[in-house]
Amino acid sequence: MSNSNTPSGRTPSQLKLVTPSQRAISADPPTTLRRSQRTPVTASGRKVPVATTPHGRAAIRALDSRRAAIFTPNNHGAASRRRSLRDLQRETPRDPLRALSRLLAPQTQPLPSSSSPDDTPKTESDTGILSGFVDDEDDDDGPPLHRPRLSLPIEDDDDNDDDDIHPHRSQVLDDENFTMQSIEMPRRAISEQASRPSFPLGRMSDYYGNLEDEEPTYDPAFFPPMDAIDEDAAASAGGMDDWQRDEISYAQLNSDERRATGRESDFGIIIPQIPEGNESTFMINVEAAESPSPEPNEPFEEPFEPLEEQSHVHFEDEVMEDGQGGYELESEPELDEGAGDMEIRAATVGDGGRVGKKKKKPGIKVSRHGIEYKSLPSATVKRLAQTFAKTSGARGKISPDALTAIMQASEWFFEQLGDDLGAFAKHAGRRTIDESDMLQIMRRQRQINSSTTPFSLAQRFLPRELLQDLRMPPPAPVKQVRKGKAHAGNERDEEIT
Amino acid sequence: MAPGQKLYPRATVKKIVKAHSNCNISKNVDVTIFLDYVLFMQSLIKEAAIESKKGGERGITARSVRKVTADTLTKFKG
Repeated sequence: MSNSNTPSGRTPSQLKLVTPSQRAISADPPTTLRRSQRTPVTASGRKVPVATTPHGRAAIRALDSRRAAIFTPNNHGAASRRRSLRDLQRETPRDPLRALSRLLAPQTQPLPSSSSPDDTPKTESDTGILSGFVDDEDDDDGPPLHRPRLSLPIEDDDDNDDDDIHPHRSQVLDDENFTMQSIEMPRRAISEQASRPSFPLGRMSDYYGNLEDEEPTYDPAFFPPMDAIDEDAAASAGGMDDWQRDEISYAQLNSDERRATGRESDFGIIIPQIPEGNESTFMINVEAAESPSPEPNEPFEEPFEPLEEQSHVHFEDEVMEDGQGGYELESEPELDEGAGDMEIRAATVGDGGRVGKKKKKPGIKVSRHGIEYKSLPSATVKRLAQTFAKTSGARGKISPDALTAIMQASEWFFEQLGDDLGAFAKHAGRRTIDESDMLQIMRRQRQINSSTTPFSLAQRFLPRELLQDLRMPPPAPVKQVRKGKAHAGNERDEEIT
Repeated sequence: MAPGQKLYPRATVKKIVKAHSNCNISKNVDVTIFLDYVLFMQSLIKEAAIESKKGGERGITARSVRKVTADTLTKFKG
C-alpha cells in the first residue's frame, strides 16, 4: 500500500503502473487488506458519490479490479498480471540502461562488424534478451570475447562439416547399394534387350538403358551424393575422407564416364569388361533407345490413333463419296482448299446431281458405321444461324462461306453427338438411344441444370409450332410432356419429310 | 422463330444421329437432339459474332466460324 500510494500521487503516467500493482497486492494477501479497504471505501463510496481522496480512488479501482478478477478466471489472470507487473517493476530500473545501450548501439556497431558479424548472432541469438544486454556491456570490454568467437566458428565449421559429411557417407553407401542393385538390373536387362529387340515387358530395364545413355536424367536419380559431394567439396572442402575425395576426384575427372565409374566402383574387379559392356550397351541402347522411347507413349496413343485413323478414313470416304457435299472434315485450315476442291468436284462431277443454289440437298454421306445419311438441309441451318446472328447483335446476313463453315460445324456436332449418344446407350446396355441419354448429355454439356429444365429450353428455342404441339398433351412433368411431344413429332415427321 | 416457318426435318435429324451412333433412336429423343443442336448453333453463332467483332469484320464470316468451331464443339462434348 505504501508503494501504491506514493506513486499514485506523483504523475498520471505512473498511475497506470500503480493501479495494477494494487490489484496484484490486493490479490496477493486476500483477507486482511480487503477488509481494511472495504469498510471505509464502500461506506464512503456509497454515501459519498464522488471519491475525493486518492485513497478512495485507489480503493474504488481495487474494488473494480476485484470484481473483474471475480468475473474473470482468477488464477491465471492474476498470475499473468503479477508476472507482467513484476517484470515491469524489474525492468524499470534498467530502462535508463536500455536507453544508454540504444544510444550507444550505433556507436558500438563497428566493433561487432569488425570482429565477425556472422558469428555474433549465432552465439547471442540463443541467449535471451537480458543476456544480450549483458553481452553488450561485455562487448565494450570485449576483445577477449571476440577471440573465442573466432575460435568457436572454426569448431562450428568442423562440426557442420562433420554433420554434413555423415549423411553423405551414409547416402553414398546407400546409393552405392542402389547402384549395385540398379546396375545389376540393367545389365541383365541390356543383355536381354540384345536378345530381345522387340518389346520386353521389363520397361524398367528399358528406362535404365535410356537413362544410361542420357546422363542428365540418370545422374540425379542414381548419383545424388556424387553431385552433392561435388558441391560440398567445392563449398567446404573440409573434413572429407580420403576415400570420398578419391571418389569425388575420380568422378570429376571422369565426368564423362560417370556411369562407368559407378560401375567400376561397384564391380571393382571386372574393369576390362566394362568398356566392352559400355560399348555393347551403347550400341544396343541406341537401338533400344530408339525403339522403346516411343513405346511408353504408344500404349496411351494406341487407343486414340486407330480412332483418328478410322475417323480420317471415314471422313475421306465421306468427302470422296459425297462430292458435292463440299465439307472437308480433316482440319480447319485445309477447309478452304478442301471446300474449294469439293465445290469444283461438285460442279464438275455433280454426283448427287442437285447442287442447286446453296447445296440445297447435300448428298448422301456415310457415317463411320457405314450408314448413309443426308446432312441437315442448309436452309434450316441458315435460318437458325440467321436467327441467332440477329439476336447476337451481328448482321442477319450470313455469307455462303460462313454457311459452309456452319454446316461443317453442325456436321461435326451431329457426329460427336451421335458418338456420345451411342456410347451412352451402349454403356447402359441398350441398343436404343433413350431420352435419358440425351438428357444426360445435355446435363454434361451444362445445358440443363436444376434451374434450367429441358422444357424451358424447348420453350425458348424450339419453334412455336413445335411448342404448340408440345402443349397439346396435358400439362404434366417434363418427361410426360416429352412423350406427348414425341407423339406429336412422329405425326409431324411424316408431314414434314 | 417466326410462327409460319417450316419446321426442321425431324426424320433427317433422326437419321443423322442414327447413322453416327449406330443405334436405334427412341421416339422422343430427336426433339431433344434438335434442341441441343439449336443450343449449339446459338453458342456457335454467338461466339462467331464475338470473334468477328474482335477481328473487325462485318457480319459473321467463315473465318470466325471456323475459328470458333473447335471450342464450341468441345463445349458441347458430352
